[in-house]
Amino acid sequence: MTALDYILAGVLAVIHGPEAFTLLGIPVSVTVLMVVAGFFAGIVVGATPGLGQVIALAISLPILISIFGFNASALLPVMGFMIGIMKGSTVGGAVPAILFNTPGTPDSYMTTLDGYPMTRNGQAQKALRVAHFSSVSGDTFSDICLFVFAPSLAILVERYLDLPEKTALIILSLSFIAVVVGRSPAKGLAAAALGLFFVYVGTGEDFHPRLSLNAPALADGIPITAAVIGVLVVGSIFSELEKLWREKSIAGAITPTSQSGDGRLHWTDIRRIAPYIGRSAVIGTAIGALPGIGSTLAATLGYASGGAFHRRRKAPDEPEFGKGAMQGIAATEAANSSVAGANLIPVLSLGIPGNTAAVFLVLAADTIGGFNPGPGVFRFTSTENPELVIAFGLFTTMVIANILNWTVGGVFMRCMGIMIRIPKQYLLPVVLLLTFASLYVQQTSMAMIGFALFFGALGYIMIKLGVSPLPFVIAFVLGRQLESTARQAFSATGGDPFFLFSSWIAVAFMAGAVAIIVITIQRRRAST
Amino acid sequence: MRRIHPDTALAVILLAFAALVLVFWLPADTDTGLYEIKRGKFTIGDALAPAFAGTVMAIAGLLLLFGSKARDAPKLDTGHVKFLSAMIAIVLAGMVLMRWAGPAATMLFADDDYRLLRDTVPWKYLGFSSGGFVIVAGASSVVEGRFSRGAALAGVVAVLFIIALYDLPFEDLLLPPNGDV
Repeated sequence: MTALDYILAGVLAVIHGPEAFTLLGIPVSVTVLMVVAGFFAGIVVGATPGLGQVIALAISLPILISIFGFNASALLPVMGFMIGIMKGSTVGGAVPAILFNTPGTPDSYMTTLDGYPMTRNGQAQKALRVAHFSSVSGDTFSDICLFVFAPSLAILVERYLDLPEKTALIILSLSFIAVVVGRSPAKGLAAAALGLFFVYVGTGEDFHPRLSLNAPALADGIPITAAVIGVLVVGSIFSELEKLWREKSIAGAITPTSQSGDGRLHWTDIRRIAPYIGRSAVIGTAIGALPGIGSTLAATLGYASGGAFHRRRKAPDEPEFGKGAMQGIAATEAANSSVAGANLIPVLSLGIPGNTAAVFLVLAADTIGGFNPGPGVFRFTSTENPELVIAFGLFTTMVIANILNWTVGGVFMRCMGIMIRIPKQYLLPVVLLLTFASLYVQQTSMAMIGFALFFGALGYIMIKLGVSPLPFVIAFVLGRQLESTARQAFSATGGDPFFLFSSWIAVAFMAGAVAIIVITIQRRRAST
Repeated sequence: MRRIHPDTALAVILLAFAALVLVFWLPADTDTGLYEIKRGKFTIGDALAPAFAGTVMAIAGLLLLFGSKARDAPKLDTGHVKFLSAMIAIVLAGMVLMRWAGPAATMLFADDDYRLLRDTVPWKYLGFSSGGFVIVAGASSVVEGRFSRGAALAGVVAVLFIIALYDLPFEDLLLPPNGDV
């Protein structure tokens, strides 16, 4: 099969997959239906403060698996739904930031700086339209980069990286994620170390399950979904509830938010914001392609870069950044949205999840089976490589979600202001129970809820101590792969204890792992 | 008395935990060491990966201990501990109810064992309904500082919504605790 055959096979796997229903005589496949459903669900959760894509992905994964089962035909519908959620929540996240000065996610914090002043000036609708246009533009740009670069990067990886190099690459990625994410490199390293430690409990190759304290619940290892969802979702819910609890204790009441504003996006506005979108899309895509850096830094850099540009170029009657400039919204939203597609480059080409949403895609692939994200996916063989067809199917679902985003996404996004009316002190506990129930139905064991509670408490403590949970999660996900690759590399090199330094590429990766830690610590020390 | 910086406290905890893992836990709770010899060949033992994790943890602790300390470093206060304790207590109470409300009710009011009735309405919902209600209404009440009608309503709606989501459409999905009993 040629590359074109594979692309066509991927498109057909999505469009002509199992039929859900017929619309005006045209069959609509289950995968397309799931992308649409995921997209709208994503906008709803993105627009609801306290929810967001991580919670939505965590809750939907067990439901989807129970519906579609554990066979390869489930991959595209399940992952299509998850991609729909990722795309939808990316645009939906700007809604509470603009209307209610409440960033739904950390990366939409910068959107509040200009979005909320626009709302107070009666331009809420215009601000939402700017956010939508910028977000979708950035997202589409990064998707195109993903389609172009992921296969070529994977081919390079497959050609030049053997087992020692792959082991060194995982170590480099872990150290990179640990020290770059969050404010403190030492805390990031600690989080990654904890993630590694917990994933090794109860696993191993010996008869005796290591570090299990002879407890039957630990003998089979800690379930990955319980640990990941516990730290990320349950920890965040506890943290949000605690903020409300303090607000109630200090102010005597939890302040409800209100909505106002109107406005349209004109062609002249698009021309004014286009340079800011372009800059931020490039910044966001470049940052997104590096594992673990995430959309918050992209949003910050995009906003800072846009702000510097705005000071040189702004007309005298235009507001400054931070005082209701629509260019500020455009710079932030284009940057944080362009991370989304680019974040999948390390997942699909290296098998290394770069952010939490990507972690759930890896979890879905791992749970269902039949698709192992990594360089092996992009083998253009003459006989059909089913994983490559799935990869191009995933790209097709992204294109469908982008088309939805350009056409109906904006309208639906602007309707979502209503979600803010559900008080968070009721909504979040419901999400907490839904999370526990979703974990339980996966493995039907109360131990799942127990693990989620334990890791939720750990996640809460990490958040309160300023330790990012992301290095923990990525380390937990990559820990077993790191160990098995190292074991294979050790055997393959004939028991060479210096296998991590057996080639110049591996040496370069290991030197990079140490250098990134040293440089980041020195820079943070210089800036404090 | 001079207060300990939060990063110093965290560093001490990390170093202590790393020492516990590396010196006591790992040697006592793994069958093989850092490496072993199988059929004349060196292979990586089960202790190496956790030892690597423990070493990274110790390095992180040392970096925190001797690194620069920000004045506004986040720290845990009594409010955090109180709130987290309340949440853990509520979820544990909910879990106990989930696990035992159904079997207790069948012991008191039914002729059969819960195991035989766990796919029968209303028995199969007793544990999840009571435990789920306690978790949702309890968490809302802690935040509001009182038990309110809103909290009770949220508890009821959550339980009904999740039953409608998981149990009604899917025959093979089990709500807590019906897979355990």
